[in-house]
Amino acid sequence: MEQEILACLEKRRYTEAFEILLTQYQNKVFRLACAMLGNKALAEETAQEVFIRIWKALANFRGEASLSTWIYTITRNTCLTAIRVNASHKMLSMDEPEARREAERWRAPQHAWSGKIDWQLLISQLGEKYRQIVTLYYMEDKSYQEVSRLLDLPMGTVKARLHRARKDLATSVMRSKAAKGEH
Amino acid sequence: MPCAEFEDSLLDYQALDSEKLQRANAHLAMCADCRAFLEALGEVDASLTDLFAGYHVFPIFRQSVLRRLQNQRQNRRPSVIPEILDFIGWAAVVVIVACFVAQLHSSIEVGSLAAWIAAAAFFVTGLLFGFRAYVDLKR
Repeated sequence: MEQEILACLEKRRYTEAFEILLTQYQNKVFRLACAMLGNKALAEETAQEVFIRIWKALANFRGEASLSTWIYTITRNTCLTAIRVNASHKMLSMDEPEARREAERWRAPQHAWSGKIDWQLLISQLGEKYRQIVTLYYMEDKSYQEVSRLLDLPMGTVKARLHRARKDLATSVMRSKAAKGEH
Repeated sequence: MPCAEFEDSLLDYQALDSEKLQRANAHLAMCADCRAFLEALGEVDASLTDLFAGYHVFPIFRQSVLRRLQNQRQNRRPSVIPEILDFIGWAAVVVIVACFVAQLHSSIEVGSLAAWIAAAAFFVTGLLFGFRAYVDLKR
């Protein structure tokens, strides 16, 4: 498929190349955005922005890196911009109900132990770099290699962070079960 | 908490070679903490696989992107006619002022301070209008 896109680019058939690229990478880009942003709606919006940027830059693609590497780099940069913009908005919008609920969730993590395990909450309590890797690992069929490619991190780093994150999550599950046993 | 010696093996339990797997299993048979840890890991893996299964874009994603691109393309190609008309209009103003100054020329003494000021003002005005029209055209 990548060869097909490159062939279209060589013949300057940009619209055709873009349409193939969009079909092939829309889910990958969306999942990477989900992992980086931790919010499905924002990820969808950002993924759209990624493809707009790809379209604008497509004619300048020189093939110095592979097409997928280029696309993931654009995705990561767009997500980082979205994180910065979102962070500045969040600082201004603590009066909003969603922001208040989020703050409550952070303030009272012990509620998670009282009933069914809230996996989203557990994941959100991991550090940023661990959360991204855990999310992508399970989205990408537990492939270290794919996570490493998407985040442009060495495989060793991915494995080490994933071990740490899974250990923390498993420890939380054990604590949760112990707490339930005490009640 | 799992025993430190076996922690890595338990985290990689599914991918262990037969020798390591045998060692890990022998240890698991004796250690309740490591058994609980492995069980918790299994629960993490199963639950998160379920949680993140089927993360796909919404069906209208593709159309949304293509529509946004189309809108941008339309916005990016504005008509140049207003700019050309603007340029012609300003050029006409400059010509009229020039004709007016030429009419006055007979009453202004050539080489006087007033003549130089009028010429400089005319030149600067023409330059500014021309530059403005050029910038608008380029935009």
